[in-house]
Amino acid sequence: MAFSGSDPVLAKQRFFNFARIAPGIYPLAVAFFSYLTQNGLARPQAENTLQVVEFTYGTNTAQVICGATARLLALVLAKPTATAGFTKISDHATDYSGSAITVMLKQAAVQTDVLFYPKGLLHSTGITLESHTACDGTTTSAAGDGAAGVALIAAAAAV
Amino acid sequence: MAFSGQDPILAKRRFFHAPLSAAAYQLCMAFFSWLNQQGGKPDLQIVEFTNLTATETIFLAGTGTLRAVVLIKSTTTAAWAKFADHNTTYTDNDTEILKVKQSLATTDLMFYPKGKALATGLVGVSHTTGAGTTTSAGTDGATGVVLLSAA
Repeated sequence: MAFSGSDPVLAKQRFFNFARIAPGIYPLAVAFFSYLTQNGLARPQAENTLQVVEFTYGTNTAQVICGATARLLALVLAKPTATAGFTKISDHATDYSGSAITVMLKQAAVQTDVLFYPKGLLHSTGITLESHTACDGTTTSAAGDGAAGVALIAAAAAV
Repeated sequence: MAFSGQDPILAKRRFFHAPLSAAAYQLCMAFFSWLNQQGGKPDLQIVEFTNLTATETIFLAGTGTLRAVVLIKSTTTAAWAKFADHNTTYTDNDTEILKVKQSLATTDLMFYPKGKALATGLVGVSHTTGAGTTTSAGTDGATGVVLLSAA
């Protein structure tokens, strides 16, 4: 689907429903939303500026974070197993595209990691996610090996 | 060089010498607070770098743990900062651990609260595409800081 913003307070609540499970992520998420609140994107009067998209364990079947242009603001990746998994984000509306890759993150331990783009990373076509067993391959991560997580996105124009 | 840690308070002071944006400052304050309160207060090593290109910048030669990466981009020409678990050489294979696109003059941040184990080392490069190896020109590659702890 295209970007569909919600009230930033509701977006924050929904984001923390996921982020709260990782103690190392929580204080960072608090700081990030504080920044957004003070610097524009999440002010109370700036309505419907943020969208939270949860995703389940990545495989090589693309999960669509956003089906049209949008900015990626934050990406929380919770890895449930110690089997190496490479989470890959691409600028595509429906599928993963290796030539349009924007973010790749290897995880090989049970842990939660987080990437922040305070001004957002523009994806002109869409935002999709897959998880593979290798950096330079497309073999699917086995069920449960790919990271699950949550993405925070904003409209393309919101910088 | 191999990991060479210092007291986390001194590391924090050095870390904050980097020209951090407002958002990066807040995030890093929260991260150091977490490290000191719940993260085991590890000894840390700060490694600054300037304008990554296709020539490897070596952050660590030996085992260690990656805690955070701060990428400060000064141009709007797209660049992909890429990091590999190696002591000398970047290769686009399974040693690659992180790849981040930037296309704004901005500061972006990657945090590993529990650390990302590095078996061999840490090197970084910057390319003009996510899948290629053409070097980022001049100042297009990110400047920044990496935060390390012992293995």
